[in-house]
Amino acid sequence: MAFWISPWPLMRTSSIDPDLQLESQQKDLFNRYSNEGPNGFRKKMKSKTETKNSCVRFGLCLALAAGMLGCDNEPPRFHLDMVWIRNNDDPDPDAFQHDQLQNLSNILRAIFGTSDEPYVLQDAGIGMGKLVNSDLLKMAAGPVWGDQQGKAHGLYRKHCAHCHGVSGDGAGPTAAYLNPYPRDYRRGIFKFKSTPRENKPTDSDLEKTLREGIPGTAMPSFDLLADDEIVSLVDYVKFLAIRGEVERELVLELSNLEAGEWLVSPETPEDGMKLIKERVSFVVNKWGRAESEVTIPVACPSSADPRTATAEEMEQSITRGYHLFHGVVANCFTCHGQTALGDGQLDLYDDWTDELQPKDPERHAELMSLAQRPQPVRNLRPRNLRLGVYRGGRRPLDIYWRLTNGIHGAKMPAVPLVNPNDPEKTGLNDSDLWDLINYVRSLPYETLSRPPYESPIDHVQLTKPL
Amino acid sequence: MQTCSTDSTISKIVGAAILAFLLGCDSRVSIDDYRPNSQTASNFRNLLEESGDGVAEAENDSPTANPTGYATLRGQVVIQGTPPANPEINVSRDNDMCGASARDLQLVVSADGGIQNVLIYADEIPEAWCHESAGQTNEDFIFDQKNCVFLTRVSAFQISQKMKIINSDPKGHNTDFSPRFGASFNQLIAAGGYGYYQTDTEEKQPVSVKCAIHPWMQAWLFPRSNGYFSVTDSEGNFEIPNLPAGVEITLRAWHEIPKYIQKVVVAGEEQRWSRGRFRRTLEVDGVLDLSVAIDADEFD
Repeated sequence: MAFWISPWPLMRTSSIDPDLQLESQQKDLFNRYSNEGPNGFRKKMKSKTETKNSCVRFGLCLALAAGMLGCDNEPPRFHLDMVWIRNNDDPDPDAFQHDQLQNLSNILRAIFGTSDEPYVLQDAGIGMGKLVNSDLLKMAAGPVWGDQQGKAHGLYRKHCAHCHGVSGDGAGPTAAYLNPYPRDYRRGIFKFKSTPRENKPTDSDLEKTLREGIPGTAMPSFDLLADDEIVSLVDYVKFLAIRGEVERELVLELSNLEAGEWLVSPETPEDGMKLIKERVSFVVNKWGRAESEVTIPVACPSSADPRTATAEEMEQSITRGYHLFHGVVANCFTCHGQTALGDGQLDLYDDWTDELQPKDPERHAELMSLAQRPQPVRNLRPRNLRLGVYRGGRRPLDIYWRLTNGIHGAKMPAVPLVNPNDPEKTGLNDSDLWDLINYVRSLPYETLSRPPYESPIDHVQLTKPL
Repeated sequence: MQTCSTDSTISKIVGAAILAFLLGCDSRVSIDDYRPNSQTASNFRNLLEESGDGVAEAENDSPTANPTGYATLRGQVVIQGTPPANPEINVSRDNDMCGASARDLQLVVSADGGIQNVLIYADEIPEAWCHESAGQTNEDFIFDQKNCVFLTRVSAFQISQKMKIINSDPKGHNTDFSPRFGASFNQLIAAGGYGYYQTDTEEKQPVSVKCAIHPWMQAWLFPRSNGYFSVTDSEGNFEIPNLPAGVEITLRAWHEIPKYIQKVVVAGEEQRWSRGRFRRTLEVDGVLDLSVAIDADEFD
């Protein structure tokens, strides 16, 4: 019976004494089903004797306690990415075998440790120790507690896991209630960053998201945390992302093996280590390059810079941006809509949801269950630019990065840019970019009664001042 | 004294409640049952820590035997049975340019049963084995789109080539693909305009290409470090010349519906190609003609 009344499910994000918590849970159940209040069970029992009632109450309490507590009876731990595994599995007889997945689970634990004791592989070739700090990881990982100096531990479970999940899968207990869903870190894709689409975010990018939150979503600001706590969480998010990406890499390798082959075979485990290290290095190196890949914006001409432009110049810049927005080079209107209300393209899914959308409906239902996503599937909504809510930040620089780099995971492409070495190539020039940014920033204040744009004008005109 | 255990009605209710809750547990979605084994994981970790610098060692693969010449592999891929109909596309916008309705041409079969767009390629051929004709083309690889269709549904190119992505339509497209190894790409290609993509890494599997503006558009790209690949033509024919001969090489077959082709009939004999692999040792200066039949069920 002890098996069924394990207190662990209650302990996921708390550090309360398990016995106390169990007791209070039982009291709760007892109160709910034995005293006042709406109670179907009680009404049915009214005609029975008092002795019978107490027996029933006792039996029911026991059953409820056993049932409710017993359903999820293990400490928090990292889970495998079953959606990715299922998506890369083949039909019989090449389907992944239980032992192969068990093998994968063991390998991941060898490289990354557990959610209570994360591990950083100390290997010069892999360089993970340069990316994340073991001590900071330990501060973020594990159960929530405070040491004698008042230092907080278990920061991730305290602040993040209820939405982002213990594995960083974006499927914590509160996730289903949120729109948009919390980020699943395991693809290593982060939308709001200073680096090009295919590159990883820098530490400052992740820190900015933590400190400022994401306006228009449930992601709050954590700016009140101590500086070392913020850095610790940034490292832990990177750790979960790297762990998730390595897992995805290993699943792809597994799906490329012939039947009966192992990632790391039980007989000759040393043979598999080279491949494992290659895949870890591949992921870690991508993260290691991020700081050197930041997109440096081109200078904003003084006639389009809000600090120096005259009112007339600013108005002209916004008007040029208006035409660019509706033109066939930047094509913003295609998704954001003729009125910029974000209703131009409603048939898309983000990269995370795409993985849940195979053509076969049965398989779709299975993947939705594995991802713990409720139906219906949510479409990707291009941003309504009239709200003045900018998820990745409202600074002109933030919008510059969104335009020139696109938004990874969210289908937003990078705008085409002119190339001085290729005069035939169509694209926006430096000042076009700032005009477009000025227009986007003016949209929340543009009157809705402004007539919709008539028709796109020829792109040749667009690179010339209007 | 009356006790719970002697009252059959009550004990039934209590029993049913317990049963309901216990059964309820089983109906929950199991995320996974692969709890890591701490002892095995610890052994693996020791091996990882001891095995030195994985990156430096990765370069030291050298083939044991060398090819003695070159040969050609060619053949035809045909379907057995009635091909399933391609799904209809919801052409939800720009009908003037994209047409009123269309089908997603996942499976293109000729009147004689030849399957188009099957990719056949040689896998893991060491650079030293490559014939001079099979490597390092510098011509631009042209990837065009017109009337909301990528003009090449399945194409492979060499990483020495620059990929020129053209938009031959009067409205904008965006070309979006995320290879596993090489750089990813998602740029708007202006009406009548073009963009370039270049990568320095080959891929292990074809990469899906999409357009977010017209989400039904689909193509597959396969950047490779050598030219040992062929995509079947409208009659299902393929040819890969100058393959290394006199040594066993691994070839693979892929189509976008079944992905790696596993169940085939070669010259009347049923074969299983594990994850699309088949191995052959070609005769020097010879031509191996391979006729491959695939059951229509594989394309459902």
